[in-house]
Amino acid sequence: MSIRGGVDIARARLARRSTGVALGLALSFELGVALLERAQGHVGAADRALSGGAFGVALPLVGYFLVGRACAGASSKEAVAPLSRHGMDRYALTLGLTVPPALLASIFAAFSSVVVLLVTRGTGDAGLLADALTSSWIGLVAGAAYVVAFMGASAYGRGGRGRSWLLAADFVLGAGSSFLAFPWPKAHIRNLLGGSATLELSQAGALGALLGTSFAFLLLGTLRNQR
Amino acid sequence: MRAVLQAAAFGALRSADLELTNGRYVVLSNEREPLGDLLALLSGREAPQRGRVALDGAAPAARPSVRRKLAALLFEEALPPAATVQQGVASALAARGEASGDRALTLLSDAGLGHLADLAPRALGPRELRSVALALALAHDSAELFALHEPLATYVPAALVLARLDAHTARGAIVLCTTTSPADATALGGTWLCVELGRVRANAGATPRLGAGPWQQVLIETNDARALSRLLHDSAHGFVSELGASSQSLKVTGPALDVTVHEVIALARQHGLEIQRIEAAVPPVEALLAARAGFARGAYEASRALALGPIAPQGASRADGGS
Repeated sequence: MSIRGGVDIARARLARRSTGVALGLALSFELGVALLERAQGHVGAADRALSGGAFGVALPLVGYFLVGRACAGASSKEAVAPLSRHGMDRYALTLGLTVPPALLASIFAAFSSVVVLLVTRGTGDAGLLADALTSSWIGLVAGAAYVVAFMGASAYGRGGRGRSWLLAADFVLGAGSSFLAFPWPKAHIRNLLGGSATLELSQAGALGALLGTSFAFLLLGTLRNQR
Repeated sequence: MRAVLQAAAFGALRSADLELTNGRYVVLSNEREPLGDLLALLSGREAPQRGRVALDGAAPAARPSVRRKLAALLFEEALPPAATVQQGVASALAARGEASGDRALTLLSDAGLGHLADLAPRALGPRELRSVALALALAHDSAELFALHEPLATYVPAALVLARLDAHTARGAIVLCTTTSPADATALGGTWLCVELGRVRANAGATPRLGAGPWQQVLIETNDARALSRLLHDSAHGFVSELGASSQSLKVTGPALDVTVHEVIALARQHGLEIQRIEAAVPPVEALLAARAGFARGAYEASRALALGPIAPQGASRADGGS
C-alpha cells in the first residue's frame, strides 16, 4: 500500500509536459554529440558518443532531473510527507517514489543508446544488433542505478541537496579509476562500456559494484528518512 | 494519550519540555518564535535534533502507526499530488486507513469547501490549502492528538472549528493549537503555554494567563463608566476594572490589549454606551528610562556586593567586635 502510494506520488509529479521536454532535450544533445563524433572519425565514434555524451553527461543529468521532479525539488523525506504524515511508512513510500523515475531513466538510456549507435555506426554495420543489445541492457541498468543513487542522496542536505553533491562527485571523482572513483556510478558504467576499469574490476565486478553502491545510497537514504 | 517532550530541540526551537495529557492547550507567541518547529516535532514530521518526543512512549517520527493517530495543520500545507483536490483528500484519507468513496467530498462540503473539490491542488493558494488540510484534520475522528497552527485563520468557519475541537477535546483527545493572536488564543481556550526565545515549558498546575498585568491596561472614557464596568465584570474574559476620579473614566485590565479593546467596543455597541476615548495605558518614556536606570543600578550594586563578598564579613565581624 505504501509502495503504491510512493509510485502514485512520483507518477503524478512526472506526468508533466516539462518531463517530456527535458527528455527530448537530452536526446537531442546525445544525437548532436553522436553526429559530431561521427564527423570526427568513424572509428571509435560509437564508443566516444556513448561513454561521453550519452552515459557520461546526458544520463546523469536526466537521472538528476527525474529524481528532482519526483521529489518536487525537495528532499525525499519531504517528498513523501503528504502521505507519510497520515501514517504511511516512509521507507516503503521512498522505495515506491523511486520506481517511476528509475523505469523512465532506464527506458530513456536504453532507447537513446540504440539511437546513438544507429547514428554513429549506420544501419549497415554488421555488429550493430549485438552492440545495440549490449548498450540497451547497460542503459537499463545505468538509468536505474543513477535514479536509485540520486534518490538515496536526496535524503541528505537541506531540500535534498545531497543529490547535487552526488552529481558533482560523480562528474569529478567518478571520472578517475582509483579508489576515490569506486562509490560513483560513472566509474562502473564506463567499465561496462569497455572503458578503463576502476580498481581493475572485471565487467561483472563493475556491474555488482554499480548496483551495490547505488542501492547502498538508497538504503542509507531510506533509513535516514525513517527516523 | 500522553505526549512528552523532553529537552526536544529542532531548528529554532531550542528546548521544549512538555507533558500533555488529554485536554486543550494553546501555545501563544509572536511570529519570530518557532511555532512551526514545535508542530513539526509533535506531528512526527521531523525527529528532534536533540532530546526526545514520545506519544505514549513511541516516537511519532519513526512510527507510522503513531502518526496515524495524529491530525496536524502545519504552517505550510501540501496535498498528495492528484488531479483534483477531492482526489488528493481521498488519497490522504486512504493513507490513514479510512475508506474514501464519497467521504472526501462530504468532508469538504461539511467544512464549507465544497467549491474547491474539482480544482487542481496546484491552483489553490496557501490559505486554501491550509483550509483543506484543516478540514482533513478536524474530520479525523480517531485522532488522539491534534496539533494545529492558526486553526482560526483559514476559510473554515471559526464556529465550526471551535465546535469540532470541543467535540474532540470532550472525547479525550489532546488538542494543541499554536497562534500568534491573543484574540484567537482566547477564543480557542484551554491552558495557555508560551514559546519564548525558542523555549517552551509547561509548568505543573494552573498556568497563568499570559499578557495579563498592568502593561495590558486600557484607559476608557465613556458616558457611563459604572455600567461598562458592570458589563465587563460579567464578561467571560476575566477583566478587572477600576473606576477613575471622574464618573466617566475607567481603567480595565485584561488578558491582552486587543482582547480588551474588542470586548469593550462590542459591549458598548450592544448596550448603546458611547466611548469617548480609548487608549492603552502605556507608561511614559521617562518612567521606562527611570525603571531602566533603576535596574542598572540594582545590577551594579548586586555585582559589587558579590565582588566585595569576602571583605564584607571581616568588616562586619570587626564592627561586631568593636561594639
